[in-house]
Amino acid sequence: MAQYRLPKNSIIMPGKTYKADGATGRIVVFQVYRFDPDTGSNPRLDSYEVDLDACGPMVLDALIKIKDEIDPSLTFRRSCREGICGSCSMNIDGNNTLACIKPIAEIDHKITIYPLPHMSVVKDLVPDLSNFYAQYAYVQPWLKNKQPPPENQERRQSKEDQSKLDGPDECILCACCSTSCPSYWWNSDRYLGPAALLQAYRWIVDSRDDAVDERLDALEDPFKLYRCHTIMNCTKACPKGLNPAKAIADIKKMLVARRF
Amino acid sequence: MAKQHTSPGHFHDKHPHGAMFHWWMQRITAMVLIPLTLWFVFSLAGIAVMDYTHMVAWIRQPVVLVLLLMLILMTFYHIQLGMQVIFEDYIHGRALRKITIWTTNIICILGVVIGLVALLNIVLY
Repeated sequence: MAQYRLPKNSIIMPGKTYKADGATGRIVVFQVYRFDPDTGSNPRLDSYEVDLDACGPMVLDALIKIKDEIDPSLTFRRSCREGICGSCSMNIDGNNTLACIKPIAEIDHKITIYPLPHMSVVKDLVPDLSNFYAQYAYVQPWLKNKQPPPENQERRQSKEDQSKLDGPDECILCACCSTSCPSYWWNSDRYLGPAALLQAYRWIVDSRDDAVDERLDALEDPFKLYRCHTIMNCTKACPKGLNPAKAIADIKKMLVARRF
Repeated sequence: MAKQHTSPGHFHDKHPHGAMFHWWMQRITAMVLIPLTLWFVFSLAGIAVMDYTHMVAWIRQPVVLVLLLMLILMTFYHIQLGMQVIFEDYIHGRALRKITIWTTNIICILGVVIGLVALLNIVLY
């Protein structure tokens, strides 16, 4: 049955404000979602004033500065700080993106930071991605080919075939796309979501893979694939500029085409 | 709110190609309904005298009759396909989802039957 009210513990309360005393440069306020499951209290929105003259250019620089200098309890994932690991995906100023490649200067007012939408929160900005990874595993993201590779040689591929993978194979599994998709919000227990489907596509179009039919069979399901209603939030959200919506549309076309 | 972490592999459609067929038919009915609906609206607007005898005479033309039959079938088929998707999206209780989908199916079948009977009634008598 439909739920008309949010659970009581999901209501976000006003939090603490940390003033940047003695700051000399331009000050920007970061409003950050805080949730600690151990305390049993509701999530809150803490405000941190950050002196931009003493901070790096990206949102992640500000988060690290806050954790180092203002509030060490702030929890978030980060690793490479250059948009290649996909760890620091979060909702910044209403959009899912990577904190490490989002310039503070692009946002000209106070900056709100939430975890990725509609995911269970482990703590603060850290969402639980177990289901997301299970969906990735479901598409069996590895090369399937019954023939062994040529002896002492790699499996060759033409430049044209390789170019089909340009884009889809640049996905870093940050989950920005899947967690921006309303269909994924309502049905993530059964819909695979744009990230997993983009990876399914990446293996379907790989000329070295010979399990196309098996892969298409695994997707031919009203929920796993067809919950995609071409909303295209995924393509808009992708911080790497990829196009999961087009990959999903191509999968749908291949499913029809193989029947004729 | 704890969310389930079920493996996505647990759900299978009963009909092997049902999902693909459903999606494909939704596109086909949509494409066919664009010209059909435009034809219907402009034809009605183009009939000079709107009375019973003129309407019956118009419907009795073979081409008009076939197009009207198609319009009735395609419209209700498209409604059924679209409503099912909406219910699957938003109703998570299995029983209620089945009830709403089947209620829609019955309403759409009734709509087609009533439409066909009405047309036959006009053409045959």
